[in-house]
Amino acid sequence: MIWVTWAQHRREALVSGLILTVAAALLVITGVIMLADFKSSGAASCAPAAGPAVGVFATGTSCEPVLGAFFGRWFSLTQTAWLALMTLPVLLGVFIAAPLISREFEQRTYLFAWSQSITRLRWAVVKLGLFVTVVLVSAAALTVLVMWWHSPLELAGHDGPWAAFDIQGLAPIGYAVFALSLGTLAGLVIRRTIPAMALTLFGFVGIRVLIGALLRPHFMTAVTGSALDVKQGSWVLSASYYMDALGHHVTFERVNQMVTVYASTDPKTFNGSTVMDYLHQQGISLLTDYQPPDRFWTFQLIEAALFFGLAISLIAASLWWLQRRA
Amino acid sequence: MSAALEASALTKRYGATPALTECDLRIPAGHVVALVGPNGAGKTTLLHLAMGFLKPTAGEIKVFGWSPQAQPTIVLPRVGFLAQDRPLYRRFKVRDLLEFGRRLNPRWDGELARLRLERLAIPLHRPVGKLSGGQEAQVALALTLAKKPDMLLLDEPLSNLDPLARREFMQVLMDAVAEEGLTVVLSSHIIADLERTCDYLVILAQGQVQLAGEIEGLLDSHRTLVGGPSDRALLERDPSVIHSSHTPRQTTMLVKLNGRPAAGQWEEHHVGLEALVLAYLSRPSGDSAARPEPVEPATLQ
Repeated sequence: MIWVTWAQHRREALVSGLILTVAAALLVITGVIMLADFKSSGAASCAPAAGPAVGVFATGTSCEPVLGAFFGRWFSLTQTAWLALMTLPVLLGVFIAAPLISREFEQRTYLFAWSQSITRLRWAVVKLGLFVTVVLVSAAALTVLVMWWHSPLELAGHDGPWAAFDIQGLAPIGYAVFALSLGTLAGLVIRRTIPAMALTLFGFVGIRVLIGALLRPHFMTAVTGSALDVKQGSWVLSASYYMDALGHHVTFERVNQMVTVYASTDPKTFNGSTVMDYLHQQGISLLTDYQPPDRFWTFQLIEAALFFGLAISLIAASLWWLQRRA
Repeated sequence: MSAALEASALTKRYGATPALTECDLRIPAGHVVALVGPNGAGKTTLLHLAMGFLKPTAGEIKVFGWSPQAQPTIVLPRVGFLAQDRPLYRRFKVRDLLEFGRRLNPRWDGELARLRLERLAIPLHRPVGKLSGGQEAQVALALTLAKKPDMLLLDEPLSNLDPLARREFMQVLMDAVAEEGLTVVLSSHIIADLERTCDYLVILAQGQVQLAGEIEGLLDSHRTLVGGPSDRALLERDPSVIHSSHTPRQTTMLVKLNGRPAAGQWEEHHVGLEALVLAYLSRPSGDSAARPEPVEPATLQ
């Protein structure tokens, strides 16, 4: 059955292998160049010296422009790579998983496959098992490479690992397995390739947006703290806002009024840094909500668990459907 | 000894649409069975149920005494199935399909399949999609036979084949039957193809078995009677009259003899297989309100 799966899908395997090889080669080439730039531009010596709070330490130091310039130089490439890597699971779901079984129904070859001496269940389990294994291994390998590639940017950037949450750690492996199982089930239930592909596309993007944009910020209750000393590498969830000692929101207009009053009553001492002290004396603080950097891996675990959970349920549903329908 | 194929009160509905209704059937092993009926009669459904591809809505089906659903690992190796339009992986080379079969079937005889295909001058290195229709059918048949099944289920195996390819297909099939003593169930709506090769007939219409038995016996127990005009209403109430047609001058009936000789004033003829099948297929379906249109000979060729 392993040979059979290979014989049947070697074209997909070769194309996917080619795409992954090209992606890996691009990551290695740009990664090596980026690392060289990281060292030669002085960004590297700034980053480790500043430790985990680069941004704060770098503010107003000679390191700030160095890190800023490094980040700026690689920004557009980072965005492109991020987009490309986010697309890979979609391609897997739409072009490999959705046709996997629906094409057998469309061309009626499932009748040929099922007429051999192995049961439908074994046919599906071996086929799916093989696909899941290959997807797990390749997604894990690619993710490790992406993490190496992204590490200089993480040291230089303000939100550290969070900026690349979707392309590193455990989550991308979860996305890949989820896309595979969603496409398979869609193909098995709908039995027609194009509608199965469409459902996979919308289903995958929908679930990703739902979890990524709506649920992920609330995996853990956000920390509320002074907007001025958010640690570098934090994921800032809200715009900064003012709050008084009683915990009530204070509008920007109200703060402006207070600043104007302060400026007119005490024009001599009025400057940028005394304003904050003045507001502080008045019981007003500038706050923001954020997820600190040390929660990154917890969030990765939660996100991966969600997608692996979905994938396992969808695969179970596929096998159940295959047995029940017959 | 258990029958090759046995159905009791077998019912299959797709949603609300019935495909088979309370079907009873027993096919003894060793026969070459013609399973005939108009399109939509439930032939494919019956064969898919026998392979366990479908689950009966009610009743049961047994293959050599085993349930295809509950015991697929016993049933599948014993039954060779050729689906309608003979689907194969068209990108596969013939050789790869033989390998496919070898890996998925415990009783595989690849050497025999190779010899059969070589005898027919079918190139093993060619992708199946590039073979002619007749060659493709031969490949499908060779793969099914290489499984070394005890029974072959062939669903419209001759459809879309030219007459020469049909003859060659039947030739190879009948040689295999002669060599290996297989039970074969061949579904078709083309009776002419089956007349020379089959010794057992099952007529399926409106989801029920209308007639089943050895062809020789069936032909012996039916007669065509020709006589003057008669009372139609009387004839249609007589269960031994399977089918009657009337012109102002004469009445032709196909009757079941039930052991008693036909009435004297009728001219008596022996019945051909085609006439027998047509008579049963155009028979009113008992008390069913939705009486289908009689099947025209054209659709049965």
